Amino acid sequence: MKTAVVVFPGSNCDRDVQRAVSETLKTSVEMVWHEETKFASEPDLVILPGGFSYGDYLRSGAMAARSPIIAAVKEHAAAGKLLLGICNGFQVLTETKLLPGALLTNTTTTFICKRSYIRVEQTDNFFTYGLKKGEVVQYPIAHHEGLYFLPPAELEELEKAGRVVFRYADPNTGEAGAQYAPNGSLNGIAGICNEKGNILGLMPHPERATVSHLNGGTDGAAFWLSIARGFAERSAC
Amino acid sequence: MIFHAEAIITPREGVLDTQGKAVEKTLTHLGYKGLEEVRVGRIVTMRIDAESGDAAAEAVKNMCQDLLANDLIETYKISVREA
Repeated sequence: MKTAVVVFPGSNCDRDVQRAVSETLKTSVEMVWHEETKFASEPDLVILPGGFSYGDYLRSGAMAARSPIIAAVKEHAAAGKLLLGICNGFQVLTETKLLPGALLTNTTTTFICKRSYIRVEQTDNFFTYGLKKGEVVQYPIAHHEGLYFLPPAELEELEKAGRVVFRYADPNTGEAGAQYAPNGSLNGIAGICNEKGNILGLMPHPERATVSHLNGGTDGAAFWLSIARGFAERSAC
Repeated sequence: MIFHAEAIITPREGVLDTQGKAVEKTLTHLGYKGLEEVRVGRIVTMRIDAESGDAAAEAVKNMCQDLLANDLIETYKISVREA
């Protein structure tokens, strides 16, 4: 599975993602500057990393979503290939309208940086195919705008279509919902996918929970392996 | 002609405005009574060279749609005057 990571001015999780993927999947990862107009490697997976693209000016992810590379990212996704946005990358995906909704300021009004627990809500997509539905995993969060918002009617459709992939949860009981969302996210939503299941956006950072010496846990490693499995098995269908 | 244009962008009704709520709380602490709702938006100002005021307004409208406002969560108002 060939992977590329897009680097925007202000991305700060780009190298973490590169390392997490390359070490877990034993593969090289292409780093692509946002001013490029195409990918050299014809990747199977493109990752928009976390950070503060363009200083989060105007709205988080707004300027990054209008970068030259985005046309190639849209083509990549339209071809059914895998596109993953983490944190600021998720914000970029909503700003490009590749995923519905918007990420608003946390109800706490503060930047939140801590471990978060999320329940895998569905596995019928390319990203969580190798995880267990209903299992609670720990990936840290680090954001100021992580409140997932969508108008009520559209939110209901999203839920009905089974496109909520991750929801904040209680690690002890496994119960998930809005009451466990540290940021006030509607319905406790932490990650969603598109209809085809080839685009995923999530606020928590699996790359920060991939190698044990970072002390963010190791649940993220299974996430990368899950994507590789989803890619191999579902692409063959 | 040079025009001075302004786009006032505000959160749509029904969209949670955490910043507005924080400001409202502080204003209430300061003793201001009767506050029902505070919403916080942003103003983008620019000088723009255009053939007419209408043309300048049209250009700013396109900028709002393309970048300055996110139509899912924000609305905007445009005003234009000769610089």
